[in-house]
Amino acid sequence: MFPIRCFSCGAVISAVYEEYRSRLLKGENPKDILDDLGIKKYCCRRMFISHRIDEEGREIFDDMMEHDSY
Amino acid sequence: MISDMRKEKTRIGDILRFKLKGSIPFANAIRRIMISEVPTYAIEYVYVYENTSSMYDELIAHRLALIPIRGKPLSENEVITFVLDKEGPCTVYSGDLKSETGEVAFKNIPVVKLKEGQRLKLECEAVVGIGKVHAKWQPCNSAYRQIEEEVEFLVESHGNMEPEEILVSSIEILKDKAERVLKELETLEE
Repeated sequence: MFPIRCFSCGAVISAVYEEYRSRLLKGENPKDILDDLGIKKYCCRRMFISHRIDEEGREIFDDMMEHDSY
Repeated sequence: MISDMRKEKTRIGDILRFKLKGSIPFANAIRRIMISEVPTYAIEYVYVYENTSSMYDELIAHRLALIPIRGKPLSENEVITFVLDKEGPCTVYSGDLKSETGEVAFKNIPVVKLKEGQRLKLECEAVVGIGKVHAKWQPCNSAYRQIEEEVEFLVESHGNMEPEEILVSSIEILKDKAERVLKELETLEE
């Protein structure tokens, strides 16, 4: 799951994560999305850029859920 | 003393810029108090009734704690209770935390994903605290720079309260501290 706050500055970056994800999957450039969402500081920007989402929108947590017995 | 106030709204909080006529140590005192001594609400106690999600209880509790809660506390003993009950397949958002006395600052923060048959049922209590104890109670980020005779301030709030409110409470706290020092000095002189 995406971190709720930026590790360095504590800004609540997860409030715009859902929009970032949907726009990224539409094929937009991450730089343009982050500029548009108002994520200016590089500590916050790296939180988004280093979060892995594949072409189908799957994250690491989706793999974890698959291996769960419930 | 404070001039040229400009406020800017962003998706993740408000940014306030203003100029202050005063010394650098005074500006630093205000900055430090805004960051670490202004009281706010944050979730501190989580009672988990059922958690069959793929995330551990303590990890969920930690994520819940970082969600900013709106409101300016009036006393130290205030408590806001939230309840959450969700069944998969779905994503649990911060907006699913229901309360009669308070509200979360952002409703679209993803907390955990649930798949078919997984359930999350919990109750949590938000209490009053300060940023010195834990960063979840920190209401803002702040920085300043000196430009000639003035100090230019920048306050980025995290959604707990308006940056102006943070500034006013920080000045009140500084005033209380100064008065306490004066009182102590007077007892020494006697």
